[in-house]
Amino acid sequence: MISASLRGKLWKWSGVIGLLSGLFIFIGLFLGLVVAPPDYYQGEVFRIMYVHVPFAKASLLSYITLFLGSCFYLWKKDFIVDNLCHAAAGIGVFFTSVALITGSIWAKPTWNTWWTWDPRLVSFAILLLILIGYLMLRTFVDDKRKEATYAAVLAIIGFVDLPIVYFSVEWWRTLHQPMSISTRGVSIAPGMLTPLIFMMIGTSLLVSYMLLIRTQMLYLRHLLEAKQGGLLSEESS
Amino acid sequence: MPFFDVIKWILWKDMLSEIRSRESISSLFFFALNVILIFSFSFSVGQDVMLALMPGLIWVAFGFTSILGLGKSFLSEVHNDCIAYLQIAPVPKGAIYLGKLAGNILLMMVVEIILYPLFMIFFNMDILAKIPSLLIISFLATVGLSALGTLFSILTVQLRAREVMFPLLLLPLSVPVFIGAVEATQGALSGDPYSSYRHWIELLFIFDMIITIVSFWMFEYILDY
Amino acid sequence: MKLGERQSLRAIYIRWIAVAMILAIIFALAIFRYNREVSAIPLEALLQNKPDGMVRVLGRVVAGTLMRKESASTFNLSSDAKNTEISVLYIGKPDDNVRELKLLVLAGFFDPEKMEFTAQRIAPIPNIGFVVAAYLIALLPLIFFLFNMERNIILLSILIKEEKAYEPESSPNEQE
Repeated sequence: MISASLRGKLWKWSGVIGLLSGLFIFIGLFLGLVVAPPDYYQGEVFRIMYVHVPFAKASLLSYITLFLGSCFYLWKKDFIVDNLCHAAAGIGVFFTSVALITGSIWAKPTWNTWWTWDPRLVSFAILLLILIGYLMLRTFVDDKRKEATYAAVLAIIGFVDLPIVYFSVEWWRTLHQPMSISTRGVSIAPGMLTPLIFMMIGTSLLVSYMLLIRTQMLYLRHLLEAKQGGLLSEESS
Repeated sequence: MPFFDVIKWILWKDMLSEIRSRESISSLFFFALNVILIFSFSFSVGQDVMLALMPGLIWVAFGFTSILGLGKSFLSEVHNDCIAYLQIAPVPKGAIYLGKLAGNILLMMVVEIILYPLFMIFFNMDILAKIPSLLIISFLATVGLSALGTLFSILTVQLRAREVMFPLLLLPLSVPVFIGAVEATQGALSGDPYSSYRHWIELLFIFDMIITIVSFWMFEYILDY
Repeated sequence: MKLGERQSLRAIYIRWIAVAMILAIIFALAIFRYNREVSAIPLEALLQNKPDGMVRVLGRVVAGTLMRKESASTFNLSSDAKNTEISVLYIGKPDDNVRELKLLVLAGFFDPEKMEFTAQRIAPIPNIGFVVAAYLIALLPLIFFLFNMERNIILLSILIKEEKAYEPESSPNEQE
């Protein structure tokens, strides 16, 4: 079990993490929106990158947390870690959807298309579907212990499958559509890189902060249900 | 060797109940037939375009049929209150998974073997020489779909929203199966040499291996009492 | 974990209103910079207002009017509504973007008597609408999400305390 003292220490640090993440994000936004000059070819549109790329990395971070937490849960059956997994899935849905939408908004002026069957975009869409399926599974299972186990199993098999999905779409795409549009290898001038670094650090800290407070919120919700006597029935009728 | 005995017994039980009632196989077969018929009416295109679409049509039909068939893998156990017995049985739970998996593969393969000649008839395709490679591709893809489907079946079969949750979980994760199966079937049907679609078959094989091993491992936790 | 002793509901409101204000300031500064450096006026506005000094104008190169010479190029610029056209003398660096039917932003001076625009350089296209949409979609839900979670923590802590079944976490069998 994760000890109460460790949880207390994490909770105390969450305020600091939140403050630091806010600081980094504000500086990153200021540098990115106010200080960085417009790009010669892309105009203003490259600024979307400052919010799209960090959010995409944030969604991957939360999915990795979900996977590691699920493995830990199956090993140790720690209830708090199960709350962490549930929290990570909710946060993952948020960041993945925003990453997909902002990516689409970026693609339209840049490549004149709202969507392209790029392996990364498709993998992100499938990641979103896996996370939504995960949350729905947790909603529909009535027994709390089974819910945690089933959700952990789903997270693990989804994590194992996602790289296979990525590679299969990549092979399929090289066969059917030449790589005229590539989300890789977009060269970045140094003046544009600094705001991105700030935003990446800030968003990573933000994900940690969100995980901490969302886990806390879910833990409190379960505690309340337990106190109200709703939690302890193993099999709901 | 209780491990292989368990697999054998579960397979035998499922096959026996299927042979006696014949409900799964007939419903799956007629469902697949309906899907194929609807597809043939849905696209008002010429014969050659239809042939180009054929691998996709075949695998969409088989995919929907799998959703129907695999979703009820554990339904008989739930209806007869056997899940708890499975949980307390002192056998490796992975063997239960493999037994169910074998049963599902057998069921789906029978449906597919009956359907391929019907495809030949309805769409006027001359594929007699290609049947062996088509069957190998079908087998690999069916193993992949069944591996995922058997696992998700035990996760969703006791839920109220079983019919919605099962496809929702299965379809995103089975994208590699569909891509690999369609591409390999396309290669086989157009008579390309094996080397040109070899990597799709390898993709299916790797997918099957990984998913079966992980699901086999996970079953121990799912049926843990 | 201490249950919401440290913060009250009001602190949460204050904190998130402060965040929203800081973000609003940053966006205001960004809009100022945009207006100062990037925003361009359409061709009709140029002809109507006839501004003095350096101005940026947005228009499309008319097909068949582009003539490249050694030191400069001349072409006609039209607005997409196709009812106005002016001639442009481009004296900036040679640029691939100066080609027919291309949408351009030209920075330079306008001579109302000769109805000619002397363009010194090409400026980036002002497509800020996409950027605004993306940032709004990203940041507004984020703020709302975070605010909601923190508020829920406080409310749940209050509800748990009211249940009067709250046990302090320092009981001996809780700690390791």
